[in-house]
Amino acid sequence: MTIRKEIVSSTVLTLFGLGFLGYALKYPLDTWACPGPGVFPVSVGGFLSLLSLWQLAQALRRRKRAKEGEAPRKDPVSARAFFRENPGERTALVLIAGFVVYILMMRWAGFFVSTFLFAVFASRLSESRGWWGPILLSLGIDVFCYLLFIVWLKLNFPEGFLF
Amino acid sequence: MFQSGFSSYILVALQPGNVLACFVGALVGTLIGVLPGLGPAAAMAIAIPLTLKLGPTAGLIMLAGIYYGSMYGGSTTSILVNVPGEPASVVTTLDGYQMAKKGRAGAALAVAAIGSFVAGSFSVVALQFFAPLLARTALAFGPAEYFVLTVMGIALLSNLTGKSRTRTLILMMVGLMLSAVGVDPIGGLERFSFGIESAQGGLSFIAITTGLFGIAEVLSVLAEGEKPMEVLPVRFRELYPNREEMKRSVGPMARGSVLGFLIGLLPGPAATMASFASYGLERGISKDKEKFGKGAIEGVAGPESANNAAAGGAMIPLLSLGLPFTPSTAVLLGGMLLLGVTPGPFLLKEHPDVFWGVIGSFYLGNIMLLILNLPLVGIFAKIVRVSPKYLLPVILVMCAVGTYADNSQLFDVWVMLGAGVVGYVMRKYGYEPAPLIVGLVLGPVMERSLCQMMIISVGDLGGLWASTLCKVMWGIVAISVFLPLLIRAAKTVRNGGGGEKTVTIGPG
Repeated sequence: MTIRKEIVSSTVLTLFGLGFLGYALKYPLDTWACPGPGVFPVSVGGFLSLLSLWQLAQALRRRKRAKEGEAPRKDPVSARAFFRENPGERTALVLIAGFVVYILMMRWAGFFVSTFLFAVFASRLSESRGWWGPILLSLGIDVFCYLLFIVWLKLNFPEGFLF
Repeated sequence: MFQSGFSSYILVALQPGNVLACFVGALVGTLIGVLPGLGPAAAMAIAIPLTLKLGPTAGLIMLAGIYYGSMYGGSTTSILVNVPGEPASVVTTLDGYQMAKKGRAGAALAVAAIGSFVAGSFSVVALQFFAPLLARTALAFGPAEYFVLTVMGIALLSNLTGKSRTRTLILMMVGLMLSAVGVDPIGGLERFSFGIESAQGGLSFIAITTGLFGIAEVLSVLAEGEKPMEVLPVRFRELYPNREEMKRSVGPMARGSVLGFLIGLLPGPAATMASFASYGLERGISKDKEKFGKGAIEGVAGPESANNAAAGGAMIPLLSLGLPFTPSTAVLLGGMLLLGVTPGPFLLKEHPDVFWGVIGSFYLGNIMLLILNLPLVGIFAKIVRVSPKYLLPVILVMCAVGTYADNSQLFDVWVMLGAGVVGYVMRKYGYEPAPLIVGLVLGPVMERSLCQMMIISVGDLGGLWASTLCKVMWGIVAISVFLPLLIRAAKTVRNGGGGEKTVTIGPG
């Protein structure tokens, strides 16, 4: 991991720890003989903040030490340029967006329709050419899920306008 | 007493449902081991909802089958493709792939499978004897001991990833935080649910685990654009090592079994450490060191035995103390809790059928894996060529369905997606997800035992080191915290107190 990444991650974790600690202080701490619901989260939040701060301090110290021999700083890269250079990252982002749509769709289109559509989408996204392969694969996944979860495990899944 | 217990409960493992669960687990585990990318922890997380229907014994037999099956399968890709299926098989690529290039792929695969079988069987026998000894301490465990046990677990497991201790501890704290979501265990007050009804019962363990391991891995594979690989051919009739190769493998298998089992008792990536330690040992004692890295059978037999023995050894702290020393056993621990089985000192007393049934299934599973991995190795090798376009949609849907099936709540699927995105970013920034899972699992036990201890001792913190057991565990905590610091200080003194030294590898 680069020093820059360590500084960024330590800062985020410190803020998260402090935020959690601040929120946890809303809960009663009560007494030593009868600890309240805030004791454990406050202790953990405090400990996380300290550890993250320690890691941040270490990273800053390392950066200071490495500054002289460091390569010249690169100019900031725009998001568009970054995704052009890293098409895989863009694919991952598109998949996350597709997943969000899939979960939202489950309520009104039903589990099986939305799962079918999502599986076709995911299959196409992962370098599949043509439509028949993804469609057949998605149908297979739907049938498998139906047999396993509905027939065997007797679970209920969200139903939509079709089924 | 333990022998009679074992012999009566081996019958539990031989029940048709349990045999089937063992077979499915071993088969899935082998497939997972063969496929680069998806690790045993992710596969176990996805399988947990399915095991809920099977009941605790069959469910755990299946999960354990996935765990040790992956150790078998991991060697196949190392030898045939030069890509390890899982980290514990990395070292097998050094000599296994060289053997394959010389036309001895069959022999390498057979020795790896036989070594895995020998070591797996050895570790089961050792597990059968050692785990009950540790579990005898059950009667001495009260809330204070449990709290100190969790502290000791966190201190020992700070080396879980084998990387930065601070980073590991940070992630454990995040796991402990997430475990605090929901109703508090003593007073029943709702915490951190932000008015979301589905969050009142806490965050789903399956959702977080599936997201961090399953979804995050899929996103990583997509981002890296991994392609199917070329596989060296192997024929069934080539699957027999010659007499000379078998003779040279016996010693490494025996040494690897013992070494691997002992390393499995330590916290950290035990199977990976064991395979490297075994390789180092074999190379160190060999009279012909130059042949290592060029296709030495000892370089396959030793490490492959060691990683399987370590997988068995890691089950001892899990079953007897409830401490998961590896990422996979952390997920297994979560699965046990969801199946209503609390591993730890009381496991043998409260669920002897589960304890002995699972151990009995290890024997059965090892035989199944040997049968699966020898004649069917050609088929498993072909699986490596399966394109991600077929695998990824299946994994994604199974993650979503499995998570939903746990509580029938879409909220859990959102949590899973969130955990997946966080897990993906964590990987980019060099953070391993396993310690977070450990924190998530240990959190409720830690909080409950701390509060109970404080109530019982009327606020006297002295209760935390009143018993001998507590004192011993605090001693272990102190050693695990201060020993690495002392070692580092000693190294600095030895190096003349200078800054970091650069080591150059290569000629000159």
